[in-house]
Amino acid sequence: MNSQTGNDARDQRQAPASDSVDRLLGQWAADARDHQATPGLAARVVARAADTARDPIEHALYWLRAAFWRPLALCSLPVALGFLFAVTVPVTAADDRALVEALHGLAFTEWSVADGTAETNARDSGSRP
Amino acid sequence: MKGQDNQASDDDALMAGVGARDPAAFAELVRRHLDAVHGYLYRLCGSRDDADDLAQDTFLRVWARAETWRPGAVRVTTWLHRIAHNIWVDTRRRARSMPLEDPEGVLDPAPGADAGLREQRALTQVDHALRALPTAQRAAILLAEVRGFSNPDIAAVLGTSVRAVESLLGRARRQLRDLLEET
Repeated sequence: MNSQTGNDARDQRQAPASDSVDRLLGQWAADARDHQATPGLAARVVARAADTARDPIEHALYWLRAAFWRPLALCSLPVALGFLFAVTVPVTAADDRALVEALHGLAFTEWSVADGTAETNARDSGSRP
Repeated sequence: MKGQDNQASDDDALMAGVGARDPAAFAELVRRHLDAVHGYLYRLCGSRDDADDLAQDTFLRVWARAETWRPGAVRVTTWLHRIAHNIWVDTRRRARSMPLEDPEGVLDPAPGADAGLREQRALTQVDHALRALPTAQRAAILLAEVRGFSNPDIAAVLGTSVRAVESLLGRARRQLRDLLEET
């Protein structure tokens, strides 16, 4: 019983302290809500934004994500072009021959084959006892 | 509540303008939210100069990445605070320790000073007590008590769960109360 009375007395002592803390916190929150940014900061931010370039990767991603058909179109475009090319450009045996000859005649091809052969020959002859 | 909804839809329209690179829309967005974002950062880092820099970085990031914002996902104000919070966390990580200054304009009253200064001193004590809290608790209590954010909004800003926010707020309020009762 005595202990109960002691607790009550302590609670009563703490109650005003708790009330004043609540009041103080409320006052502080109201004060913080009234906070004002440094004068001129808004103008500085807007002025700097005018000089700030937009992130091109973010911009491209946004453009792609803005409509579902855009990534689909982007992916299907090379496929469609390849299909069109295959359908519209006739390929004959004569075309194949011309292509092979053209490739064969490329200086780089000739040089690289000759160089590779020479290197192989040199290595083979050098390794022989 | 209706006012909040109107504000949110106005903000949505503003963000659409910012996404379309309209400087007037951006200026209006800054005018509307700079004080709140600056106040949040100021009480997080404790320095007006740092808060200026961080708030500036926040809005420049908004300008540069306005297109990444999705209407309806979160409120604009929540998104802004999230960006501000992330910038503050990044800066802290880089600098490791931001200076904790006394809030400017708050004088330490001389003996016999008037009631206004005593009141100001009491508010400064709350600021000091707040800075004694761990950073996540500090951020949570600022968003809840000052900005009036709901727990899901706070969770969105801090990038954590609603349950974690409830726990953070509970501990923060207890600790803040203990610190203030001690003084």
